[in-house]
Amino acid sequence: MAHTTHATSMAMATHKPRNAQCTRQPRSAIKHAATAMPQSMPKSTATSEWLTSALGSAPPPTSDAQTAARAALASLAFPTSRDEEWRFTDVSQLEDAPLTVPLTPSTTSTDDVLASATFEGAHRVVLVDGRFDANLSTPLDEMMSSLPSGSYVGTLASAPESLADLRDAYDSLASAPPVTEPLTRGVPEPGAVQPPPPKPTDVFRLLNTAFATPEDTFCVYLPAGTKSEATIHIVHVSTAFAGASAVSASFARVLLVLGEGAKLDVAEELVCCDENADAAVLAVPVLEAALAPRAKLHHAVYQRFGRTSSSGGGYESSGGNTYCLKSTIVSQAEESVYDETDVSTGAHVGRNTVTVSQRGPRTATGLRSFTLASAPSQTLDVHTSAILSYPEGTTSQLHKCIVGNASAKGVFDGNVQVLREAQRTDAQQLTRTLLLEPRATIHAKPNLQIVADDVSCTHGCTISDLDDTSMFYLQSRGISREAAREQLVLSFGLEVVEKMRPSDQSDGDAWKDLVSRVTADVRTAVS
Amino acid sequence: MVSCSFVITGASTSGDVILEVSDLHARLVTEQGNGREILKGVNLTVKRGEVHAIMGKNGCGKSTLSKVLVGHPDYEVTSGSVTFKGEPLLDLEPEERSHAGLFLSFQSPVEVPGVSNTDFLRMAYNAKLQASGGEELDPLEFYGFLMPKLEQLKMDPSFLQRNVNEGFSGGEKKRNEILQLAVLSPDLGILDEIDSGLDVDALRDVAAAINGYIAAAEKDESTNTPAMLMITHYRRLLEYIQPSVVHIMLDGKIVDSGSSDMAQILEEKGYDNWM
Repeated sequence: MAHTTHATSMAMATHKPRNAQCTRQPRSAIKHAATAMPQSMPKSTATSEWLTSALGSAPPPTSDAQTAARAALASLAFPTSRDEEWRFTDVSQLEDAPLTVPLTPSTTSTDDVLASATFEGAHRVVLVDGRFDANLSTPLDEMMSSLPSGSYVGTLASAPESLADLRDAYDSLASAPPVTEPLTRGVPEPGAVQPPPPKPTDVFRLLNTAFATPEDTFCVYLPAGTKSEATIHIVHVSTAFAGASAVSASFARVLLVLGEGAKLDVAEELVCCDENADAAVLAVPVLEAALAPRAKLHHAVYQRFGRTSSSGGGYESSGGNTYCLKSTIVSQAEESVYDETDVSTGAHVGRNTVTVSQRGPRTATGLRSFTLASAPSQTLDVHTSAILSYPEGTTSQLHKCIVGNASAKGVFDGNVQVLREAQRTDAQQLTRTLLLEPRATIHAKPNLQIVADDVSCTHGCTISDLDDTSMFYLQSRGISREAAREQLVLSFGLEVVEKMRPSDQSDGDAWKDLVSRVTADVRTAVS
Repeated sequence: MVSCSFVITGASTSGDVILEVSDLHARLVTEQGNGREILKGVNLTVKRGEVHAIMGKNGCGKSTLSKVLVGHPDYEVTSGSVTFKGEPLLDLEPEERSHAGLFLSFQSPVEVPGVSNTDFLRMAYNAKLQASGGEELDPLEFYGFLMPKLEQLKMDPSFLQRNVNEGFSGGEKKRNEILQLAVLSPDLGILDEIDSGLDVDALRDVAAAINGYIAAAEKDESTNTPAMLMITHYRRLLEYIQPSVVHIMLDGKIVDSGSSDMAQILEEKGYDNWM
């Protein structure tokens, strides 16, 4: 399906062809009901006591962004199903207990969960409840000495004053209005490009901005023309430090700044101890990346809250009362390449919001996700937004979801905006979902907004049980029905999982640890 | 020329009967198929060491016959019988038919993303070993078993690391089917339009792989001499792989059988000759 929308007198032609809301029926064929989506939902203007009280424990603001975030939060309501962005993802239980942030390091042992987070040959950066833990990480001087000259790893607070690029990235982010785009590097020339419409305010990202101080912001900076041989493996560990009385909240913040032509591979792994705590554990990690012209960032994310990796046996866990609401914000200058693969299996409610802004011509973006919701009442949500503002950009997206429990659900919202100047762009998006149980549910909303007239944009959305032809093919080769089914379900996910490994590392062992662990976890979960 | 009785006139008729199809009727049971009868009394006897070709127009039922034999769920046998190696075939599940030594090369092989060819082949081979009570091979042992097969078919080992049929060209998919055939070394290999969608070069490569497989299987004393059943529209394939018997299928029945000369008659006079 190729859609070309010609520019008209309308400000923006919106193409929302499939607003699929689909629940697998117990016996009959799947209904693929297309329901009209109201263009704007009534928005509550009431402020939230929970948010106001949460802000009471935020540190004093040290930047304009923190001040702005606090101001925005003070006037915002807690998200409910009446907000378009949160229509299918229920976070209301978070309001049952007040939010608490760690004032002292958690006493929970992270040994087991870190022992399972192996990544041979990578530099390990461990953030416990959002705070960089030097004792659990590869020593900073060891990392620094292996990185090219002029690089920096460490907290923003400790970064040398001379690192203007890093400060600029943080400041431009900091001064950006919280409701629109975060990074305003490479601002389009006046009149050249229509600015994107403001997006609804994301309460959780704002909370992160309000809480994450420069001491909490972990940075990786590579100067122009350099490349890191080693992958940076960032392990986010969340603990239930607040016990039963409060929501244990953490706000990790990672800032990646790549100079012109620089190249970096990053893997983020999100894990949680104490998933069976009575009160909720809430992780709100934010990763921001600024890519200078021709820079290349490969980014893999593995969220396995409440899951035991590879050591087996942990998969019947529901992920407990855990919430992992992650945001990834990327700004790409001309001819830069950003490649992201997100695999999520854990958390009671898991969400990854990826926002990519192409800020120069011939920019390439690849976004993939695989979510596996197999625990009772689990919700896994992927929100992507790609804004193409310059000519000859490409975006390639593949989003897959398996819902393997009757009360679990998947949510996908994929927005692509092709602005007026973004001629000859190529934007491909494919969403595929397997509903393996009766009443398992997916809400899929691919949506393309195209103003430019010379573009190639496609999207596809399929929702199904396993394909009979594939089943028969495997059976005809002597593989039993059960084994064939298991293999096909696994293969469905592995198509994305194997893309966690950078394409230029397909022969190396560097990523084998992570990819084989994820594969083993997915195999356990689907068998 | 019209003959309804079935007589084998091929040269190599000395082997044991491996497949016996008697008065087989089958219908399509999918929603679109509407229960339409497609096989209307097929009779066919195949012996070890023979290469049979079934030719016929689109919709005559020749592909249906191949699918019914391997147990495709879209079809229901309404009457008739099939024995394979002397045992009734039709009650077996598709995987049991594979274990018994039956193999179908698919007209449109299925892509299995995320699963490498070598893992897939090993899984299939181990399922066969397991069914016959044998010890499964670990990846290293299997590699040792597989490499000679690749060489025999003149296939590039890089084939093994790629995902099953994902991004394969038409010719590569068909050669991959022949690789599976060689790994499972069935007693009867059914090739459903192995020539479809191939250009001349690809067809030559695929045919060479099939001939290579047949020659190797005949030499190999540890396995039984296999038989092959080729389903095709075109005579071209038969120029590369000499059949011992050619059958003409029309409207759900085999209406004539003879030597490879029949393909020549078909080429000259068309199917009208039998209508």
